[in-house]
Amino acid sequence: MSSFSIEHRLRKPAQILDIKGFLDAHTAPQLETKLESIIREGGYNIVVNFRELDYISSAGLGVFMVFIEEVRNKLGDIKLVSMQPKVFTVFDLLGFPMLFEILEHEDEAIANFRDAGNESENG
Amino acid sequence: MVAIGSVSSLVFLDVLHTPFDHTVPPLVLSLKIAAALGFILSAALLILRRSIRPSYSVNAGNLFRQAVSFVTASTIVLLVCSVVLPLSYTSANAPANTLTLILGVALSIAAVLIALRQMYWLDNLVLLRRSKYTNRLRGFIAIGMLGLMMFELYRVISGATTDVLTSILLTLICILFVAITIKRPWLNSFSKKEKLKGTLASFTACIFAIVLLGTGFGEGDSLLQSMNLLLPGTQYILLCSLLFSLVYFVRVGFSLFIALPTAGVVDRKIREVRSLSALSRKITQINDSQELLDTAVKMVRDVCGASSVWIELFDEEGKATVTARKNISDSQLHFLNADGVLSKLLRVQRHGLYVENMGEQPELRSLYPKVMKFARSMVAVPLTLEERSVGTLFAIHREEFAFEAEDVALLLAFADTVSIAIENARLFQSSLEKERFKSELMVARDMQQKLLPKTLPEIMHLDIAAYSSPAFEVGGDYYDFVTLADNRLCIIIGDVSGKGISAAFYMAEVKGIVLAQASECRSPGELLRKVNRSIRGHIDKQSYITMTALAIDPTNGMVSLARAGHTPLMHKHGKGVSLLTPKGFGIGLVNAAMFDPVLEECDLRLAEGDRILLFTDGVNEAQDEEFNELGYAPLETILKNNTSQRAELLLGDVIRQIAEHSGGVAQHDDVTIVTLLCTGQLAQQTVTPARNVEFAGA
Repeated sequence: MSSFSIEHRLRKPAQILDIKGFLDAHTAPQLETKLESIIREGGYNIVVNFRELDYISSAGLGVFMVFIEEVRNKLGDIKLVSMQPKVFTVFDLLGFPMLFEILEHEDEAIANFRDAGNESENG
Repeated sequence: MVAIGSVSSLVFLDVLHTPFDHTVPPLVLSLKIAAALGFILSAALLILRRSIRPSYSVNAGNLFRQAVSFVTASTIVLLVCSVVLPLSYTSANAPANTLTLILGVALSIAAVLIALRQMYWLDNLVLLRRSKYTNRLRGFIAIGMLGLMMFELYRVISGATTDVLTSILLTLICILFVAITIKRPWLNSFSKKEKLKGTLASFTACIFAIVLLGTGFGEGDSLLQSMNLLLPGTQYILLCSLLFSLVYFVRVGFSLFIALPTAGVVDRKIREVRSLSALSRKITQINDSQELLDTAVKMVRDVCGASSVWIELFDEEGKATVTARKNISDSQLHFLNADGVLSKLLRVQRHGLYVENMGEQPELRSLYPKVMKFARSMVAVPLTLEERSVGTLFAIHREEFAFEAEDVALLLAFADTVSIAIENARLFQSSLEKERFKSELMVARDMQQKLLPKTLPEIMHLDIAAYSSPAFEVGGDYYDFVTLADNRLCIIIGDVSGKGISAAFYMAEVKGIVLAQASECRSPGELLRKVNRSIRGHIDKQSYITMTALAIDPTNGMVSLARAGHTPLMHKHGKGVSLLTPKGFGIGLVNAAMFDPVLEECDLRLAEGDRILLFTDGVNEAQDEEFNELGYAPLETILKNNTSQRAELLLGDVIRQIAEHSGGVAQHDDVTIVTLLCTGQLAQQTVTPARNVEFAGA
């Protein structure tokens, strides 16, 4: 259908994935592979930035469910930020806001990771 | 025509005893001339009247053979007759006796007929390869010949001298003969043997024509005298036909003679072209690649003169198998590939192998003692498809230096054709397989259609319509009507994440679970919780199912609604439309501990004129060309504006809206819609419980 791309960058203490375009059954495996490789390399603090994502299908949503359990077991998290309203609606209908931290801005996610890091260090 | 000819011949014979000159009364003379011309004309028409066949339908070789033999034989006959017949003429060119008169007339008639027939054959040969000028040239020649005859007649009758004019005209006609015989490329298609024969025959015809020209047309020659007896001028018919033969056969003879040294090469090229085109034709005729490979090896062997030819094809693991062969045994193949020396060499020499002498090829010398009896020279060319080697075409010969560069080129050409044939056969096979998959999918589609309810529940004042269309052959959408433990009708709509076959399998599983659980549940919420419990853990981590369940109490119009991550339910009540999204996770996303407390249930009351629209995300996410989604708003508008008394019409409006929005863009997600219309106040009534549709195979 249409294009999808992922850019990976590091913004301590998190790995940031900027996803662009259309996330559907065809492109979901790309994201899955990317997330898997980050987690294999020990990156458990993951922020997915949805700012330039135009469309997400049910298969695209499923990708996040694959890894969330494993990441949380390692005391990390996958946080979703900067969603366009119609993308958020899709997540919202499924109850994702109760499962994931969905935030307005990337900075909040980074700050939350830092806080969590401090807590765990302090604790 | 025959009658005219015969009558004029009789009149003509009757006045034969009078000579042609000015001493004869004009009436007799003109009668005589008219009779002679009538005869000649009818003879000409009789002989030439056969229609000319189109050149492509004629076998040029046969025509040439017939023409050359007729010309030679008839010339010889005339020659012999003019020498042997006892003809004696006086010095004034008058017949000395009656025998001479009769024989002379007979001879000249024969000469005219023969000349005309010779012209006919030559004409046919010329027409065999005509050009746009040919017809014009033929006309000029005919006019020229008539002119010659007229001059001669005039000369004899008036006694005037026309030698200069006659010579000029004869020269012109000869030039025309040369011009008309220029095009003769068909000679190239003769084989070497045919060319040799043709050369000899042409020169023989020329020699006899020259002899007759030399002996028949001199002053006082009996042939000329005899023809003058018939009608002065007729000798020019014979003269022209002999000149025509001479010109034609000299040209043909020389060009055949010149072509003789290269005839072998031409023969070979012709064979190559023929065999290649025959093979290409076979490709389109034969779907059986084996038969084609067999044909190919046979042709290669014939054309290259190889002692043995075979084709090896590689399977998916790169193992070579001999698939077609001619004149080579298993043991011989075994010797040739002893220790894999040959295949190793072939892997290095990717563009083919050309071995002039096995004994001198360092890499293959080890094989030589075993194979010298049947293979001393070899050509091997790769069969390639899109840069990928799929096999090898081998040709060997029991003698050294048996193959030439042309053979290698030919084998390469054959290899290309064979590769295409192999590819064709493969494509044919894969299209068969595709057909099979397609029909399997069709079966799956039918099976899935059977999983959807066949009938709609019938409740007084409640009209229901439903529609489901997968994006591909099968999909993950689902709707159903079941009866709960408390006898309430429960409408279910669901959507498995993803689409295609995997979604279809989960859809079938969900259907089974819903059917099994429904009769034990007292509310839609309970049903969804039970479905989640059954599914969670039995489904891929990334898969989930969204579902809405709607229980209707037909006795009072109370509806309770639970939603597991599904798209909102739209309810038109009075003039307003509300989107209902009670809380709930998608099924399979989380375990019961999280799922159950979050799931909300909400109630609404159906009044007369109320409408409910249930749909899957394929509806609101239907895209147009620019990937704009339909969204909820148009659906709300439809619901708001719809005043029909049939749920089916509301359903039709929604389907039309989707089609309008997509504007021909292919449906990319499964689409399912259920519409519900309350046509009157629901009150205490006898309920016909909706039958739970049998689960296929259960």
